[in-house]
Amino acid sequence: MSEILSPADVEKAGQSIALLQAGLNQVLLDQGLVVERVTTAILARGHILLEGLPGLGKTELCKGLARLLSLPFKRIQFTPDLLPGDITGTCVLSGDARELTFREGPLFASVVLADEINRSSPKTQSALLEAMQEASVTVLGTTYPLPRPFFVLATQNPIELEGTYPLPEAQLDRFLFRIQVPAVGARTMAKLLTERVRGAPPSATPVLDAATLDGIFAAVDRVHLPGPVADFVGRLVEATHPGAAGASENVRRFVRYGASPRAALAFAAASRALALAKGKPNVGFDEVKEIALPVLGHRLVMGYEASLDKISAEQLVREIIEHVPEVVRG
Amino acid sequence: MSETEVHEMTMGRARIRTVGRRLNMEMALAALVGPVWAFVAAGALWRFAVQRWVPAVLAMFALIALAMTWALIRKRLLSESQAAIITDRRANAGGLLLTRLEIPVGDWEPALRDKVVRLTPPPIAIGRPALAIVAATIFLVVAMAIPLPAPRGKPANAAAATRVEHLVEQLAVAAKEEPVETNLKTELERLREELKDGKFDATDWEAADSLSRELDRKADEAAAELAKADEAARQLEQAMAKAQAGDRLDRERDELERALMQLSDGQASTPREALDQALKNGGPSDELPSSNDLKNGESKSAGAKNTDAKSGGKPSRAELDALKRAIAARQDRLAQSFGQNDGPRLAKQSKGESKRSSSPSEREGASVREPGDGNGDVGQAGRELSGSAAHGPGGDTKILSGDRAEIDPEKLKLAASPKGHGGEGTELWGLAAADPKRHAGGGPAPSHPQGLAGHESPANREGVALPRNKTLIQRYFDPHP
Repeated sequence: MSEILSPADVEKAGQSIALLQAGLNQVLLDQGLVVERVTTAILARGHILLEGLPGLGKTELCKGLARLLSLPFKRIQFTPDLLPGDITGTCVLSGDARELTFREGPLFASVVLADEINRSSPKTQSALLEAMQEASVTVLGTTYPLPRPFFVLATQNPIELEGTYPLPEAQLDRFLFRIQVPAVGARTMAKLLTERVRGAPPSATPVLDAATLDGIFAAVDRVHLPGPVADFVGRLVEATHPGAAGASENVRRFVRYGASPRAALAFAAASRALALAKGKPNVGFDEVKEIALPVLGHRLVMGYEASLDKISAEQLVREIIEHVPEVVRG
Repeated sequence: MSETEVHEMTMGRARIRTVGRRLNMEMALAALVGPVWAFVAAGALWRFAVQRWVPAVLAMFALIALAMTWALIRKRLLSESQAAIITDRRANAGGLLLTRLEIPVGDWEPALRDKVVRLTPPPIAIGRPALAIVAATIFLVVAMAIPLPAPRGKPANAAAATRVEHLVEQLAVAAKEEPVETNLKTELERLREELKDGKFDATDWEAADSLSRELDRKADEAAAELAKADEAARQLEQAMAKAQAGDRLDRERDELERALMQLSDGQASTPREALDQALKNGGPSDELPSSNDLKNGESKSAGAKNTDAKSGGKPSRAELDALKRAIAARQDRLAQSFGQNDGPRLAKQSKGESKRSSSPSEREGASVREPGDGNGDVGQAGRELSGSAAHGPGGDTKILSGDRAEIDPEKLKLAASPKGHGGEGTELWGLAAADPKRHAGGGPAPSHPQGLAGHESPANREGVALPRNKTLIQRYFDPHP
């Protein structure tokens, strides 16, 4: 039985997290929820799929995060002619030795921005699978570990569908969160105009070093997940399957495939990180419900009826959260 | 784990149990309403409909209601972990209470204790279920307090009732024949009581069968005795018929003797003398009884008379025939002495009638007929011998009636009426049979003690005279009424 986090540990981690969130809020104005979820995903060591219209600051958010964490950052602009070797790296003849040496690709960074990831071919997209899951790259039979921590922050434009390749389900499942970046209001834009020069964010100073970040990661792992809450997580994931006994009528009708067990793992990790960010030594039902939408939203494979009836995955996830009770009698 | 932690954990668990009990009570009360009302309604219906074994049935219904309630709430009862979730949510502990149930929370305990102490038990809505249960209880009390209607008289077991009624009828029939034993009556009464109480079971059916067999046996015995009595009565009747036949022979002999006495013209004082006289006056020896026969018969008759009262002896048929032949001979002799031609015929007729008469009744009506007439003892023979008016031109015709009437075409011919009967003979015609011509030797019989009325003609005595015959007779004897 592991010891629960002490209030001091929680407070210390909370302060670091607060610094990180404060820095991100400086980068991305009036997007508190996005910042919170990005922070949670980072604390849970998960990858993030940012989805929103162009010009909302998604790329700046990624760059700001890398600066705040003082982690190596690389950006990959996904284009249709991008090849897997372009992102993973490839072996080249080096100098006079006439030996093949591996030249690391842009994936070899702690924070990788995969900008407009849906514009590359599925072959290139699939090059990220190993990196995202195993934090390693295999080229010509040789596996090269990626630096730790390793985060992939991808962006995609939901309206420019021409010339794009939808992400495969396996790829989507590897993202911890899919975060919708909403449009900002007039006040935010006015602030952007008055407080920034040419919209450039202020130069962020690192708030966390690697050791601190590792400490936070360890603290996240020590956040206790009670049995009833874990049971609730399991029932939530189960309720996304149309063939499950507790599935709602809409899930049976509109969902083709539900979430995988990886979703439950994502639930646990994200809820722990969120609880720690809230200053709690344990996970509660509220944290699970709070992260359910970004965890499950991109993991449901919707049927054609959903598109006909304009039923989104987010709507179904909200329905599932309301449908699944915390306490099951009988 | 320190003592404080143990205390804190105990306190937390106590709060969890409190919350669980309250919630379970609320759920149980809500689930109890239906079964309780079902129990109350069923109990009341049972009491009013069946009216028996009410306490036992109520207890059984109560158990069933409790079982139904338990079946309803069993899967809905809150476990401790479920109560802990609710308690954690109500205490706004954010899962810390759940965590403490699994691992020690250490420094988080004071904060958790504060939250648990401030915890208010969840509100439970027990007002309506409790009110419904109280109403059901009142309903049950009222239903139990209402006086029961009189139990129905209709027996529960119709077949048993029919059987008992049949036994009652059997017993009544048997009682008419002979007194019924007391134990049978007692058994039947017991069966009726069992039927009335609704306890008529297989044993009672067997008892009823046994009682029925016993009554059938008694009925058979009574029927056998009745058959015996019928046989004895029949034998007695036959014996009495034989005795009556003997008496009839006695009466016939007396009549014959009396007739013989009268034919003796008062010269004989006893039947014996009359018979001797008849023998002495002679006659065809073949028609008269021999002296020995008569003597034997007389002696037998005298002996019989002497012993009739004592031994009941009867005259023989031969004796009676001898007397009849003596009477016939006497009549023939008298007819010859009066010069009548009809005498032998009448004698022969009388003898023929005697011969034709095979049955005692016929013989009684033909030859020795008028003992009851008082003055007409001589009867037909005497009147015809006295030369009374003959009917019709033949003179020997007599008016017959009944099955002996004959239609003579000669008598139905029309002929002119004689003078004095309607003017010239050529002018008034009438039936030839109605000619009142007086035949030779005819005339009213002066010796007849009393004249015969028209309807008392000899022919009429043979049977009932037809109306037309009566009219003819009346017009003959009284042409000017």
